Amino acid sequence: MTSGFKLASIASKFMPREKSMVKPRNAGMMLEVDDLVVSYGAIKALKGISFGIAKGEIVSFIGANGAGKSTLLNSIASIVEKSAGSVFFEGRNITHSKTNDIVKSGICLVPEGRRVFADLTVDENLDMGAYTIDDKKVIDARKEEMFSIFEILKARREQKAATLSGGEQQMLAIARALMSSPRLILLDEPGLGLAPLMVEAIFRIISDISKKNDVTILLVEQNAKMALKASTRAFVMESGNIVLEGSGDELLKSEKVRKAYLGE
Amino acid sequence: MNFVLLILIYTCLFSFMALGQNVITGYGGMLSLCQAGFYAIGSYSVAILTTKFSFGFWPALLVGVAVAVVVGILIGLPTLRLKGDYLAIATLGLGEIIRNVINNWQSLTNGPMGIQRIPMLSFFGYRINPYLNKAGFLLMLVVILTICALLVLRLSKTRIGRALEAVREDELAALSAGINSTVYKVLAFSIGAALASIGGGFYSVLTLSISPGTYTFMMSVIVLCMVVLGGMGNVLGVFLGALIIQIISYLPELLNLTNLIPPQLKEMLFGIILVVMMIFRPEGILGRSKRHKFERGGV
Repeated sequence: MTSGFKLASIASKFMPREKSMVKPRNAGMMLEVDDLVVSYGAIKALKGISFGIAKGEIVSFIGANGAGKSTLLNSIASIVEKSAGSVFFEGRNITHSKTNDIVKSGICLVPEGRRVFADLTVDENLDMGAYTIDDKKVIDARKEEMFSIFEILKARREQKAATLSGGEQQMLAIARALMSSPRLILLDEPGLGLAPLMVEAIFRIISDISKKNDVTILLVEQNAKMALKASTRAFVMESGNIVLEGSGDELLKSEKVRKAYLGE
Repeated sequence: MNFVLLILIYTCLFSFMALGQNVITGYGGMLSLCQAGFYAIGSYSVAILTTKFSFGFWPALLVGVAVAVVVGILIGLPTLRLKGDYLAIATLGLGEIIRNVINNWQSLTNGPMGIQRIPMLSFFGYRINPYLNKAGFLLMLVVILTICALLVLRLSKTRIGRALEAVREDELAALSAGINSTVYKVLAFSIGAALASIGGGFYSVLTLSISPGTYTFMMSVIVLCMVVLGGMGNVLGVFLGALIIQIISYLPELLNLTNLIPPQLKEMLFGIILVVMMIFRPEGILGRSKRHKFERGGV
């Protein structure tokens, strides 16, 4: 990894660790989510979700529209307020941390729908992703690394993000997230609205960066087949609850999943 | 000639407010409607401190800016999480609250009677009489306005400008890039407040007599018109917009047609201008200034 990663890990050693009285069930994992509840007014979008993710895993959540997948990612990143429950990242309680502090601690969210800065060039979008880094050398090194992973972006460096194709924008969104050297990436529907070939390419890249860049990935996806193939572990969500859990292969073979989500 | 100078002086005073509005709306993307309120804070700070507490003009102006910034932060923190129209309504309310407080806080502000006999200001030991030396007053305003404009331009190219741009373009994406959107919104809001209060402070030493009737909601709307007309996010556009709106405001007087054209006509004209601009050139006369490559580091 680059020095950006080292800096971040050194910084985390000096940060105070908050101690919680209740030990979460998934203690010892990289990300520990315990009994997470999110309500929008009277409606409960998440009804007490608990799971853990170990370092290096690719974990996916699949489920229908409105199952609470995006809410899950947004609440982990504190974009949506949590009603109850706790989230620990690398042993640190981030339940009530602010989004910008969570990003600094090493989690990055790639929001749904390719939220790139349309009026900025590819280059500037990447700069924006490195907002938490101050060292220009680190940023340039990260950028070169991104251009080696996403070659197409290098050719489009000076172009406005709005002129990119959907797939390229998704790549840019992922590259922008990687700029801050996160150790955990939350990907919200990376395949949404993309051509099947592009979806495949995106998932190939996701697997690659997970291995090469030592990044743990938590993704939610409606394209269950692609997600399950790429994942080491997966959860099925239905109306705010986890209803099924297993390895990607297991779920691909599961009768219930095949019927409900793979359309077979 | 004196009249033309006076119009130019007012253009400068309004330009302070419009420059602030440009930071809030043009850079920060927030629809705020209370520049007149911050202008009033600047005016009254100068008026009260120089008449009742024998402050000099410049220290009084600094206090006025500080008060505006503090009010901006206190009001900004709870309201800036509102978006679009809702923020506009909340800030509209704030502007009215400031005016009503001034109207009713008799012991401090002398209520609707206003404050008279504000001492003239001196610029490096040189007293500027706004009645006899309009050119000098104007020159001083232009110098200070230029400094402020350069600072605003500089700001738009720093990390802060970049963060504001991100927040304006897409708040969710900015959040997930690790940008604390609240901090930058409140910052933009209070910079805008500070600029408006500077204009207000100079207004006090121009008229030497102020009353709460000046700082109406219409004033905030006119300021917004200037920014929309000139081009949001464009400092030069702000000045152009301010100048055009001021000329239109005084058109009957300039043409010596006051007995033909009723003064109410100008509000109608503003309305027409806004509608026509929105249809044919929503980005304003000059449009958003072309972004320069961001410079990293120093703020």
